[in-house]
Amino acid sequence: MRKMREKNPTSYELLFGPAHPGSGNFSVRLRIEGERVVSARADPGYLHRGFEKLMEYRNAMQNSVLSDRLCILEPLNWNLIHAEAVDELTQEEIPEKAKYIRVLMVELSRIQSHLIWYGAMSMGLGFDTGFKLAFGYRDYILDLFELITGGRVYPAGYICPGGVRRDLPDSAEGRIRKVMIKMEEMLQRCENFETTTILPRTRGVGTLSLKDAIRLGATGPIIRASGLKTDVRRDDPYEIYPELDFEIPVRREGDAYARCMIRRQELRESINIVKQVLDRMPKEKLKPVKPKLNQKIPEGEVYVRNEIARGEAGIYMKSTGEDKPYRCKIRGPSLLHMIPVLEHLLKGCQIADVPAIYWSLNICPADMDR
Amino acid sequence: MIWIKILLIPVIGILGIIIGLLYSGIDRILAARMQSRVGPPVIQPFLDIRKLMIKENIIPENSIPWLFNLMPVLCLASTIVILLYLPFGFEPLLRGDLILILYLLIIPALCKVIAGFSSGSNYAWVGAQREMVMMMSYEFPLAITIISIAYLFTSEGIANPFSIQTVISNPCWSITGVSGFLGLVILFLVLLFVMPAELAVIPFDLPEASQEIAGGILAEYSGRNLALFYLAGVVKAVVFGSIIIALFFPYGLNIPGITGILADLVFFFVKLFLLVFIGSTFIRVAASRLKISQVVYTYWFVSVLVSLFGLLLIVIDIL
Amino acid sequence: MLGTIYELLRNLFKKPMTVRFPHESIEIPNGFRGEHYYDIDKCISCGLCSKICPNRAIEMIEMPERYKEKYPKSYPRIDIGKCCFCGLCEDICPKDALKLTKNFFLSTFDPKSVIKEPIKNDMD
Repeated sequence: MRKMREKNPTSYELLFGPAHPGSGNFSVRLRIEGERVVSARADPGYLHRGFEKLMEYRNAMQNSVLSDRLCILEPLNWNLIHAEAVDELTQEEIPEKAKYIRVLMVELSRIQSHLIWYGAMSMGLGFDTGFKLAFGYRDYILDLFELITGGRVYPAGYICPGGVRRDLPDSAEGRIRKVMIKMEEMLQRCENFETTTILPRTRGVGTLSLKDAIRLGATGPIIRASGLKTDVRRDDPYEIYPELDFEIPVRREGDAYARCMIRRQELRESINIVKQVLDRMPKEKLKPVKPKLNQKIPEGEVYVRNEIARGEAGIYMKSTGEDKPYRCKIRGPSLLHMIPVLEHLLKGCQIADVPAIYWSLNICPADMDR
Repeated sequence: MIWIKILLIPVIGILGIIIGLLYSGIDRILAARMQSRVGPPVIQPFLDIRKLMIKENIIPENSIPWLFNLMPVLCLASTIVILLYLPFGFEPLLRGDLILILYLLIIPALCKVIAGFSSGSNYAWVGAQREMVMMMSYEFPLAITIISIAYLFTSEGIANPFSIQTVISNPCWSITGVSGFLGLVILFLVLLFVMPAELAVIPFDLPEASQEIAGGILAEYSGRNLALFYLAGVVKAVVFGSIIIALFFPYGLNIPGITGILADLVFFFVKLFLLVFIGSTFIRVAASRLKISQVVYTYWFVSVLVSLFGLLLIVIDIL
Repeated sequence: MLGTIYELLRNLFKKPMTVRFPHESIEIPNGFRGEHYYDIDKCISCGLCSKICPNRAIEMIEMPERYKEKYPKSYPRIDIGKCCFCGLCEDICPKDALKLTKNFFLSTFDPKSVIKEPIKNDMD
C-alpha cells in the first residue's frame, strides 16, 4: 500500500539541461510535484577541457594566452590572476603605468561581464527588451577591447607576467570616456524598467541566509547580498586598489532581488573606478613585454586570489625551476555556487522561479568545469 | 444565394490568414524598432511558414498519433470559423450571436491543451496544465464584459440584443448617459487587458515559455503541424481585434457606392492595426513574464472587480 | 511606468543601434590580429615562431627543388585552422618578417586554402 502511494502521479522529473534554451552548458535534474520543486541535483562536467593539464606543457607567456579561455565572459580578469601568480614567483618589478593599465582593463571586463549577466537574466525572466539592450551596449566595450588589445572577445593574454603586451594607443582615453557616458545611459534605462519587469519575479525568491551562505561557501555578490561586507579588493589588496576610492555595496535580505541590485551597484562603482584610473594614469611611454623562450620561473609555490565579477577566484602555482609550471590549480567561484548553493536554493520553489534563481547566482559553467 | 456564401468561405479564410501574417510582420518590425534594432522584413512570417511547411513532421513515440496530428488542424479551422461571423468593414457572412462567439473562442485554447497532453513529454504536460489554468482565469472577465453589453441592449428595449447585427448597427456609446459612458470605457480597457492572454504574448505566454520549459505545449511539434499552430495564433489576433471593433467601434465612414466599401475596409484595417499595436506589440516589449499565481490573481481579483464596477456603472445609468 | 512608455515610443523614431553590415561597417583599428602576412626575404630561419606558438600551428619545412638554391634553409608553414591568432609569433620574430594584417574573412569551403605555404603561388 505504501509503495503504491509513493508512485505519485503528479511527481515527475524535468531536465533543466544542456540542450535547453534557458540554461547554460550544464544541467540540473529537478524532481517536481505539481508545480513545486522537491529536490534538485546538479550535473556538471559538460565543459571540461583539461586546463590544469594543458598548463603544465606550456611556458608562462603561452599560458597567459591560454588563460583567457578559462571563462570567456571575463577573460582579462583571469589573465590578471595568472600574471600575478607568475609575478609573485619571479619577484619581478612591474612598472607603475602597467599596473594602472591592468586595473583599467580588469574593470572594463567586469562591466562587460555584468552586462552579459543583465541580458541573460532578462532572457530568463522573459523580458526580451533587456536582453537586446544589454548585448547592444556591450558592443561598445568590445570595440574598446579591439582598439587596445587587438581582439574583440579574446585579448590573447594581454595582461602577461611582467606587465602588459602593448601600450595604450593615444586615442584610447577619449574613447573610453565616451563609452562610460553610454554605460551610465544604460544604467539609467535599467532603472526605468525595474519595477515592472525584474521586481515582481525576484522579490522574496531564493533567500539565502548569512549562516547558510558561509557554510556552503558562497563568495562575491552572493554573500554581499546576505549581509557580509567582504571584498578581496579591500581585504587583501592587489595592484593599485589601495589608492582608489570606491564603495562596497551590501544588503541584508539575501533574496534574488538583492543580488540583482548589488550587481547593478557594482556596475556603477566600476564606472567610477575607470574614471579615477584615467585621471591618475602616468603619462610616460611603456615598454611592452615581448615573449622570450626558456625564461625560467624560480622554485616555489604561491596562492593568489582576486575578486572577479562572479566571486573570489584563485590560482595555486608550484614551480620546480623550469620554464613550465609543475602544477597549476585553479579555484573558480562557480563550483561552490553551483552544487551546494543552487541545490539548497532550488528546494521548495516553483518551476517559474528556477530561471530567476539560477541567473541571479551568475554561474559560469566554464570556470566550474575548467 | 447560398452557393455564393459557400464559395466565399474559403476566400475569407485565406484573406484572414494573409492579413494575420501581414500584421504579424508589422508587429515584429515595430517591436524591433522599439528595442533600437532594425528588425526583419515585413514578409518574414510568410517566409517562416514556407520554411516550416517543407520540413519533416516528427511524431514522438510516446504520443497519441491521431490526437497529435488532429489538434493543429482543428485549432486553425475553429479560428477561421469565428472569422466568418464577424464584420470586416462590411456585413458578416453568417448570422450569429455573442454567446456563440464566446463559446467558439474556447475551442482553439482547448485544442492546445489537448495537444499538450497528447505529446507525451514532461515539458508539454507542464505547459498544458498552465494553459488550462490560464484559460479558466481569463474567461471570467471576458464573459462579464460581453454579458454587460448585452444587458445594456436588453434594458434599452432593443430587439435581438445578443445578435451581432444589432451590436453593429447600434454603437453602444450613443445609447448611454454619462455614468454608462464611464462604465463602457472601463469595460473596453478590461477587454484590452484580456487580449494578451488570449493571444499568448508576454506577459501571459506561460504555456509556451521557451526559457523555462523549453517550448511548453509546442515543444514536440515541428514541420507542418507547427506551421498550422503558428497560423492559428496569427489569425486569432485578427479575430480578437475584430471582436473588440464589432463591440465598441463598429463605425463606418458612410460614403456611398464602391468607394464607400473600400474606404470602410481601409478604415477597418487602421482600427485593427491600432488595437493590435496596443494589445500585443507594446505590452510584449515593455513587460516580463508573470508567474501562474500572479496571472490568476490579476484576472480573478483585479480584472473581475474592475469589470463588475463597470457593470455597476451601466446599471446605475439605466435606473 | 510612464518613463518606460515614453522611452519605448521615442525609440520608434530614433535611428537603431545596429550597424548594417555589409552596407555599413565599423572601422577596424590598427593592431588588429587577423590573417598572417609573411615576407620570405626578411626571414632568417631562426625557428622561434614555431617554438613559441601555443598550438603548434607553425611548422618549419624545407623548400621544394626549384626554390632550393634561393632559399636553402627551412621556412614556416602556418595552419590557420589551428592558429588562435594570439600574435606571439609576430612579437617574437627578430626581423619583422611575420605580421598580422586586418583581414578576418577567412571562412572557406576549400580545405587546401587553410594551410599557408611560405611562398604564395603553387607549391606541391
